[in-house]
Amino acid sequence: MPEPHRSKRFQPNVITEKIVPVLLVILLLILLAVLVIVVLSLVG
Amino acid sequence: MNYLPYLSTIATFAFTAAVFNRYRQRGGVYLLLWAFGLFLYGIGTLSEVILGLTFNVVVLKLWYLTGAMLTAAWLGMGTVHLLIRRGKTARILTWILAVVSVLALLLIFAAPVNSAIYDVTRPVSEQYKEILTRNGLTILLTILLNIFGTITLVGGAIYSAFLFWRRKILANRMYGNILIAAGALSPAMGGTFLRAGLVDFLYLSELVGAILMFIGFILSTSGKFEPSE
Repeated sequence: MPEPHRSKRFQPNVITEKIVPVLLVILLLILLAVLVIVVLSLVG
Repeated sequence: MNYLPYLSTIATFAFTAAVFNRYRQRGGVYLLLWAFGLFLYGIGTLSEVILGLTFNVVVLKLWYLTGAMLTAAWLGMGTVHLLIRRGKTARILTWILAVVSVLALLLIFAAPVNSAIYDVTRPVSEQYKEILTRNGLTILLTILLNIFGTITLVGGAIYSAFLFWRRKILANRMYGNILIAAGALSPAMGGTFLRAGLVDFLYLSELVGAILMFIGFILSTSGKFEPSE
């Protein structure tokens, strides 16, 4: 039987509240940069 | 001799076996497609191993087909199946990718090769443009497949991590998806290093990418809950 939804939750801490969002934004920015580079490097 | 492709090949095939084993246990088209994408990844790094020892036209073409064209797209297609569970979108996209992959195969194996100028002491990624003649359609397909694969694989992992973070659930999957996103970005960034003349970084980025994604996968599947995103 599946456990209640509450049991999957984690307690917010400094890492999840401060570092994770920054990491996600950084990864998103790198993704955008890579997409531009992929086009430029393969065309060039 | 550069030993990094050897390590990448071992890591990637071990990762492939782990994903395929999970598919056999749990099912799920996304796992099968990830295993296929990882198999292509492994073929690409294995081709680098062989091309570091000797030159072979078929191996060079396999290296380009798998490493430059198909790996990211098929890994990304796995993520599409994971994230889009409703409707026929994922299935239709898979058939389109299958047709494009066959076209890519035909284009690459029909492409002329100037093997006389191959230098076994230089990384293949540094010299393939001078050896393998790619027509406009091949280059266009390479660009489109890489864009599709990068957006779906990396974007999908970032999106999943964001959902877990916003809902404050399944920390292992949140961190696992962050590692998968970082790992998938690593080989793509290796191309940038190559342009800067740091040729060893491409091989390093492939190894780092395989290891980070493997750890991310293990972390994501270490809990007792099935993927919900």
